[in-house]
Formats: sequence, structure tokens, C-alpha cells
Amino acid sequence: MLICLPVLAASFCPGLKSNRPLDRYHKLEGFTGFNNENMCEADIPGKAWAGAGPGVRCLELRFLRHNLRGGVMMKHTLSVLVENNPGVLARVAGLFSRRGFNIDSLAVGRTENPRVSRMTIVVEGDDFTLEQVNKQLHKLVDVIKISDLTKDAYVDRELVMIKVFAEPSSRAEIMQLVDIFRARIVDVGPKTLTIEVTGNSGKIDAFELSLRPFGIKELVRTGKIAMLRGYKNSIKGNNHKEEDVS
Amino acid sequence: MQSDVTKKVLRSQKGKVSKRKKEADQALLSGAEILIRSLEDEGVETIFGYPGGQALPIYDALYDSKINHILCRHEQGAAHAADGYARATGKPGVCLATSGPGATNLVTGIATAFMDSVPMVAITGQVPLSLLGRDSFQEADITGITLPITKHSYLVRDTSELAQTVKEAIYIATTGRPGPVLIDVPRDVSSGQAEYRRADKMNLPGYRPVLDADPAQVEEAARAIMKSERPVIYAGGGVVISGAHEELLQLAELLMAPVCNTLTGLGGFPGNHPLSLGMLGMHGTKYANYAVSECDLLIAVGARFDDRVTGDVETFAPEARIIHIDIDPAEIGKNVRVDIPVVGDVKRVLRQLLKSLQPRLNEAWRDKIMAWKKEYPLNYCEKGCLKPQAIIREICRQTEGKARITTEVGQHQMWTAQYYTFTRPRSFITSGGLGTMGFGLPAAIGVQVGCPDELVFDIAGDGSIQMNIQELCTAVNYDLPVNVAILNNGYLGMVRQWQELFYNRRYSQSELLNPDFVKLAEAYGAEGIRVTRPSELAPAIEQAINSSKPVMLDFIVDREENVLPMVPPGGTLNKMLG
Ligand SMILES: Cc1cc2nc3c(=O)[nH]c(=O)nc-3n(C[C@H](O)[C@H](O)[C@H](O)COP(=O)(O)OP(=O)(O)OC[C@H]3O[C@@H](n4cnc5c(N)ncnc54)[C@H](O)[C@@H]3O)c2cc1C
Ligand SMILES: Cc1ncc(C[n+]2csc(CCOP(=O)(O)OP(=O)(O)O)c2C)c(N)n1
Ligand SMILES: [Mg+2]
Repeated sequence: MLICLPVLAASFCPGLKSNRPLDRYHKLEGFTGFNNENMCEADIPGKAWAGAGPGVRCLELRFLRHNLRGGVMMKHTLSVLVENNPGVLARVAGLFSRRGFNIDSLAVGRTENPRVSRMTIVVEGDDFTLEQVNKQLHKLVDVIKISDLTKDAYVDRELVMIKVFAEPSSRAEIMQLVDIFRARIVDVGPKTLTIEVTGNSGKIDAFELSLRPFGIKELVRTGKIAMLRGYKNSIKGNNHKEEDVS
Repeated sequence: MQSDVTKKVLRSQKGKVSKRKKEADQALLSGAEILIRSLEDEGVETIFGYPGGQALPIYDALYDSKINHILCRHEQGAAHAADGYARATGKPGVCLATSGPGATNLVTGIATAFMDSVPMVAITGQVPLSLLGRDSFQEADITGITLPITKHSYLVRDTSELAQTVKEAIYIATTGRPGPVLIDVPRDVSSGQAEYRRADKMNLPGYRPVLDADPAQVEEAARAIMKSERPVIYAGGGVVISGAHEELLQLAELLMAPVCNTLTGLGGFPGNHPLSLGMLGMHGTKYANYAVSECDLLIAVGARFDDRVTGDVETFAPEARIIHIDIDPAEIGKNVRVDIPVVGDVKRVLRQLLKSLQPRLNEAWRDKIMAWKKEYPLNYCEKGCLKPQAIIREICRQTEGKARITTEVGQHQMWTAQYYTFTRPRSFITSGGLGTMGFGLPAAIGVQVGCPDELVFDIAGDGSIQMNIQELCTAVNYDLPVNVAILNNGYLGMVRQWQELFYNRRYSQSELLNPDFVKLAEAYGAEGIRVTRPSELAPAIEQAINSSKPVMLDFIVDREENVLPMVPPGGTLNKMLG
């Protein structure tokens, strides 16, 4: 069985002192250590890696990263309503790069109101950075409203299309994976299959990882889009969680 | 491009000729006419600008307008002049340039205004919509270039949007935290036709400046104030912008709290008041910096904790709780931790706050501050040749601290901040945030246009003045009797000072060969006066003040004088050199 299990790193890797991207998702199986190029500090507050019993492959590890200020780096999903004016994307993107905020992903599209677009921005930073991101975004005249979905229960989705090498011998196995992940085959070539899958980033990461052994020829991935659960934005302070039904 | 309205009108024109057509014609104006009419209707009286191809329709419309256009000699000059006009009057400054190089020449001026929160509207001509994006002749993506240095910007795509755009631009520039707004007008938009309807409603769902603070925050600030033993007020440019100088004075006197000003805040509190500590920060007075370092409550009013003020933020005001009153929420907690944020317009917040306060006086704190003032006054060695500080003092004495002073950037700017006693708001106009050499002279021109009956001085350095010296011609052209006092030390003095202190006196590229400023002034049709001895100082300034022409004073000063005291960059406020 494949499940996605967020695990905090500290107890898993006690005494870790390295400059690694602890916020990235790793596959536990075959996980080879922290030799990526980014940084992290090691005294990571966290919970024990629980719940991974036999038969469970952990596909998602989440690490907390500390920055120089000592703040905890976190990913936040911001939902930003903007006026659908020319240049608004440049304003937002420019603001992020100018002030040194990291955009992880950005997805833009219009809303139910054609004059208004929604940007879903995944940004990484500590509380201080997030506060500045929020306030600086608010200063843009075209920005109407910002909500940090991370504080509430929300549903998020990405779409990925993967063109994977598929020899006749491996097609069956690939199709099985497609089934498990509720993905769809959207194009069949002589040597490749093109597959689309939607889901949250954990699921998509997992899917990508499981296809990797076959050889991925090409991959495109949208930014994340997200929405609060329940009735509109009124669920602030409401702990009720609905099931993720996908 | 034409709006529906326009098209309809045009259609009706085609149909019935004669009287109908006449009416329709009357209702139609060119985009440029609409632009100018809208500016007039918003109360704009003066535009500083420079023409060129894509701005020609606008200049044509200006020809019949009651708006006063000042032709500067460089677009940068036009932008700074609009800036100076705005800072002196509180009204939006408007500048106008053509596309391409005209627009890019405005950039430094726009950035200067942005950094110091100055209400400005910059209008640029642009290539026609059909040529946009094709590297057309004199095309520059000016909305793109100025994205990070404008509060907002517009590329107008339809003649019928012009009136609304002008209204919004002025509204955005002047409200909340003021700043420059750019309007880029393609030539077919300014030459196209539309009906002029005065914009009445604003449609800005994303723009809602907060003016009134949360009463709970004000109450908390009041409680902290009433509990404090050693309060200090740190008053910035926001006081001047908001027109809150009277409220600030009341607050200071009620609490008997000393007031230090930022560079841009000078004049927001009378410099000759016993509670005034002058400027704080890198080149602030020792007593201001000591007071901040030892206070138990710092009341920041319309100030943004610039690094020139705080030095090392870790050791800034180490014993103080901090109240931060600012209209821009993004300023709160940006550079230093703040204990009590109060977001709102300074004037309104102070009025609210004053209601909850009772008079207070901590005699020990007052005496300590008085003792510092006595023990560590600003000083310099008065002996020998002409001292730059003495010149500022003399200008201050003769103008009774009431002139409008602009500056360039460098040592002369700091001496002006230290030795001129500013007594009223909007009387000190200087580029603080960007530190733009070449700002002072064009700004002085804008100030003089806005305040025709007042005495205006640009205190300049021999380096800076050469960055926009061509504007002397503008002053002569429009009979603007500005006075330029060059503190001529033959150096980029501020650079030389840093090289002396931090680079082993290796004066790399900081010594200047200068023109004969007196002859230069005369060539422009202004008056030139050279002063080399202390004895000539007073009469020369008197002569300048009494002259009805622009005057350039060339003061040959002590070459290697330094600005002191000084907190080395990143240092701790109470550890000053000098
Ligand atoms: C060579 C050089 C040396 C310098 N040395 C010093 C120095 O020693 N000391 C010093 O102080 N400065 C110095 N400066 C200037 C410094 O760089 C900053 O420009 C200055 O300190 C900023 O002043 P401020 O904090 O008042 O902010 P400003 O730039 O004047 O900004 C105004 C603040 O008020 C807020 N505001 C605006 N309108 C309102 C309103 N209606 N209500 C409430 N808030 C409002 C704004 O949001 C903003 O936060 C120097 C500059 C140069 C070029
Ligand atoms: C446009 C611009 N270029 C460079 C600088 C860096 N700079 C700051 S002060 C200064 C020297 C100014 O010399 P001067 O005008 O003679 O004034 P002084 O310091 O001698 O009084 C320089 C080069 C600047 N502030 N602005
Ligand atoms: Mg000089």
C-alpha cells in the first residue's frame, strides 16, 4: 500500500547537522541522505516518525528548515485575488524577486468574475517573511484580497503530465500504477505513454517517483491551485475537516 | 482605439449632418485635451516637463491650457522640480516627458520621490499602441522600468479611459502613504478622440489606505506612555506629510518628552524648541543618539527605522519598548521589532492619543537630557579659513530659520541638517532615501514655483551641483530667484571623508576639477558671487537674499572638513566618532 505520510526529520535523523533542503519531499525508500545543494539547520523540532509500520512505504518526508534569523521556514499557500489588469502578474512577480521572497509555484487564472483573477502562490519563508509578503502584496493597488490558506483546512491540486518510456514489457506495470494513482493515459505513442494525474503535491511527487524507473522523457507540472474547504472563506477558526474525497 | 461611446458618437455623425454633427463635435475632445482638462479639473496648476515626438499631442493641448508649464532643461530636472513643488506645497507634483529617452530620464526623479514618499504624477508619451513591443523608434517600456519605483502605474489603452486614469492617479499619489504614479500615454490614445466626462467615482477595490487606527492599539500606546519613565519621540517624514506638526508639539509638551527628527522629519518639530534634540542617526547629534540609547519608551511617529538611523538594529534603543505609528502597515516590524504597532494617519492617531494622556514630567530624565545637550553640543573649529558649518549658520541667522532649503547630497547636506535650525514643516527638502546628487537645484526651482514669495536656497556641493546645473537656465528663464550656495571643497567630500576614515586616506577619484562657478552663473544669466574669506560671508548672503535674480554663491571652504559626529555604518548609536 502506498500512503503519504508527513514525517518530521529530527527524531528520524538525530544529530543531523547539515545544510540540506529539509523541506523537500523525499522518498524514504532508497533515501540516500542529505546531499542536495540547499541548506538547513539541524536542530529540528519534530515528532517521532510514527505510523510507518510494515507494508507501508513512506513517500513523503517533511523537514523543517531554519533560516539565519532562527525562524522556521514553512511553505505557505496564498490565495490572492487581483484585478485582471495588464501587468498585474509582472507586479506580483517583480515584488517577490525584488524583495527576495521565494516563489515555489504560482498559478493564475480568472475567477467566476472575469474582472478578477486569482493567483495561488506557494511561498516559502518564516513568519516574518510571510508577514512582509502579505503586507507588500497588499500595497499593490491591483491586489484586492489575500488569504493564507495554510492556516485553515484547504484542498489543493496540481496537474502533471508525464511522458514516460513504455516498452511493451513494462506497459502493464505502468498501467497498474496509473490505476493506483487514479491517473489517466491521454496519449499513446509507439514507445511512450503520456499520463496525466491531478492531486496534491505529495501524490504527484509519489507518482513521479514511481514512474522514474521506467524513464521519464518529459514532464510538465502546473503550479498549485487551492481552495478553502467548506462554505466559502467563513471557516476561519473552524476545525472541522472534510474528507479529501479524491 | 476608441471607446463604445466614441464609436456611437462617430456613427451618429455619419448619419445626420448639420446641427447634430456640430453637437457631437463639440462633445468630442482629443485624448490630449482630455488629459489636460482632467488635470485642470483636479486642480493641477503647474507641469514641469520637456517635449518630444510622442508627447506632441499633449503639448499641443497644453498650448491652450491655463496650466503653467515650466520647461526644464533635462527631464530629470523636471521630475525633481515636480518633487520639490510637491514637498513644499503638499500638492501633487506633475512632470511630463516624451517616450524613450525622455521617459528614462525621469527614472532617477521618480525613484527619488518614491523613496521619500512624495506625491507625484509622471506622464510620459509612448509610441502608438500598434507599434508597442516592436522596439519602435523611441520606445521604452517605462511602466516596466518603473515598476519597482512607482506606487502604481498605468499604460492607457483607450482614449475614453484617460479621465478616469488621471483622477485615480492623483488620488493614489496623494492619499495613504504618498508616492509617484506614472501614466504612459501612447500617441494614438492622446490623439484619438472621445467624449470628456469628468470622472467622479473611483474604482479601486484593492486600494484602501487605513487612516484611523484601531482604538485598542491607541489605548495600549497611551498606557505604555503613561507608564514610561524615559520617553523619547522619534519623528520622521510622516509628520510633515500628514501635517501633524501641531499635534506632535502638543504631545511632546504634554509628556515633556524630547523629540529627535529624522533627516526628512526636520521641520516637523521646531528646531529651536527646548525639547528638540535635532537629528538622530549616523550624523545626528550626540544627545539625540544618547537619548534614544537610554530611553525606556521610543515613540516612532511617521518614521521607518532606516539603517542610517538605527545603525546596528540589535543594539538600537536596547532598553526601550517601541510604539510605531505609521500609515503603511508594511513598515511595522520591517526593520526592528515593534511592541505596539499603531497603523493610521499620524495626525488622526495623535489626536486620538492626546485624549487619553495626562501631563507628565520626569525631572531626572529631563535634567539628564539637558546635561547632554550642554556637554555635547554640535561643534567645529571656527578658526582659520571659511568653514562650511559657519556658512549654514549664517544663512540660518539671516533667514531667521524661515527660508525654504533644498540640498544636494553629501557633506553639505549633513551640515545643513545639523546647523540650520528648521522651525516649520516643509521647509527642508532633501533627498533622504535615495540620496540623489543633483536633486537640490531643480527641487529649489519647484519650491520657488510653488512658493513664489518665499526665500529659497539650494545648499549644494561642488560635485552635486554639476549633475543638474543646466537647471540654472530654467531659473533664469522663469525669473525664479533661487539662491544656490555651493560649499566648494574641491572634493566629492562625503566620499573623501569615508576614504579618509575607512580606506586609509586613499582618495581614489574623489578630487574634483571644477569650472569657474561665478562665470558659469553669469553665462546662464544669473548672478555669481565668490566668497573666500569669513569676513565676506555675511555681506555675500545678504546680497544674494536681496537680489531679484537667481544667485550662485561659490564658497571656497576648508577642503578636508569632516561631518561629525558620526556613527560608523552598522555601528551602535551611542558610539560616535568626533
Ligand atoms: C548622506 C546621507 C546621510 C544620511 N544620514 C542620516 C542621519 O544621520 N539621520 C537620519 O535620520 N537620516 C539620514 N539620512 C536619511 C535616511 O537615509 C532616510 O531617508 C531617513 O532617515 C528616513 O526618514 P524617515 O524615517 O522619517 O522616513 P521617510 O522616508 O520620511 O518616510 C516617512 C514615513 O512616514 C510614513 N508616513 C507617510 N505619511 C504618513 C501619514 N500621513 N501618517 C503616518 N505615517 C505616514 C511612511 O509610511 C514612512 O514610513 C541620510 C541620507 C543621506 C543621503
Ligand atoms: C547620483 C549620485 N551619484 C553618486 C552618489 C554617491 N555620493 C554621495 S555623496 C557624494 C559626494 C558629493 O560631493 P559634493 O556634491 O561635492 O558634496 P560634498 O560631500 O563635498 O559636500 C557622492 C559621489 C550619490 N549620492 N548620488
Ligand atoms: Mg564637494
